Amino acid sequence: MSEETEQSFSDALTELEAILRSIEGDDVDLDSLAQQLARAAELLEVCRAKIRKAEVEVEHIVSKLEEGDAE
Amino acid sequence: MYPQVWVVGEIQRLRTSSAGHLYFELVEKGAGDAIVGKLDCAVFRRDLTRARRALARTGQELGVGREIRCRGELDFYPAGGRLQFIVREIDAVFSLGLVERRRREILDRLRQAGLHDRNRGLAMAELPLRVGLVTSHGSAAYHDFVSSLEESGYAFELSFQHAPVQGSDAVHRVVRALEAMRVLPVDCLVVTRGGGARSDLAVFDSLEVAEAIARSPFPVLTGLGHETDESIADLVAHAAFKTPTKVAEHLVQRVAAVESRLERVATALARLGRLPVQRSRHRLEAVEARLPAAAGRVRQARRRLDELRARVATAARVGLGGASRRRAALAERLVLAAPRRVAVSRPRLAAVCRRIADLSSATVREESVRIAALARLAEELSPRRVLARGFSVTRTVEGRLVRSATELTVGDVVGTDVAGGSFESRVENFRDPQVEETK
Repeated sequence: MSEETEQSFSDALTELEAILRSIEGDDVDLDSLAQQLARAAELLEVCRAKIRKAEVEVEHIVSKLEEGDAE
Repeated sequence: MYPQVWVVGEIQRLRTSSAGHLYFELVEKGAGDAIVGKLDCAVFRRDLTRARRALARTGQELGVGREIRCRGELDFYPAGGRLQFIVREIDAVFSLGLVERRRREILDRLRQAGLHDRNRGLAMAELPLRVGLVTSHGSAAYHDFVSSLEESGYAFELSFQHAPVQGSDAVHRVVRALEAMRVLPVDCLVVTRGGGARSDLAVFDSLEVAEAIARSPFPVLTGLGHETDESIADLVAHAAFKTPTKVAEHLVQRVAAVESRLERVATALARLGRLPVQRSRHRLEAVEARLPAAAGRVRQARRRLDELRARVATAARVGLGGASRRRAALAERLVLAAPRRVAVSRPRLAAVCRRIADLSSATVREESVRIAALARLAEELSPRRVLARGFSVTRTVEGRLVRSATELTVGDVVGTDVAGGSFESRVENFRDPQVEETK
């Protein structure tokens, strides 16, 4: 879904936590449980990808900053 | 010979003769600077040397526009036919007082014009790498300043405007150089002068130079090479330093401070840059860890379902027990109620039987009539009656009815029924019925 790629990390994580709360609640709806889990898995992947990307970028920038320090 | 007197006036038309004597006009000004008195003066070389030495001790020099108090006597100069005042001594203390008074006047004027603190109010660039320099080209001031910047290793960009800081048109040249700097892309201006006589500072005590510094769009730093008093230029500048080298050091320190701040920021960024990503990762990992447990909700739901089923079964059994009890009660009631129902029904049944019996006998009567009619009809149609009317029935020995002569051959034995009995006969020959009929 193209909207997912537009979704910010923070929004995705917030939605993920909301799903978790809903699933962990006492009156979990079995009809929508699979759907919610699927959505959660999808969001997890979005978040993981974003973090990986951010880590790579930050690591790159930080190592450049540290190179600057060493000079 | 005239007696000696003290005279006060402003020096104009100053010139030195080839013999080393000094000539000038001492004028007195009235309202609107109009000259109201004028006296031709001469200072002979020996007196001049002594006077200059006395003035120099307090950082002064003779120059056009300077007001002096001098002692001397009138003398007639026969060669030119002129009466002139021969100056023997110049009052250095008077001149100094005048200098101070003039300084105060200039400072007052600058304050009134809002110029005294104007340059100080400008923001100094954080990184003053583009420097405009006003000084005398090739002077020690120039070299001290430029080499200090170069030694720092920082990429200073220098814009230079030459201005002689001594001499009669020094004020004008310094002002022009400062004005030329206005359009240059610089972060600050530096005005320097490399030591020398205190009297040279007159340029930097002038209103014009002070105004040019005050009005500069860039912060002006001075390094005028004197150890004691501050000049007016120093007072109106953004910052004043003793020497050109000190100005350069200040700029270098400022750049170095920015550099070390940048380094601190870079270090902090390198240290802190990873934190948000780490925090996000931890948050995500917490969610990831809880999610499989959440998937266990299916098992939990199954357990709940099992429980529910067990409860339903129990409830059903309980419900069934109740139902069978109810059924037994019902049966009991039925048993009790049945004979009563039978007793009630019996007379009705008898009546029904009677009605059926009545209906039956009527039907039987009607049917007897119909049967009698049918019997009569059957009687009418019976073969006996037919035989009685003269017809006969012939059968083969096997009992088969003979309906046609063609079914028989000569010698066949047949039996024939007629009214009143039957007989057997043998076929002898055939008569042609067609022939018979035609006979």
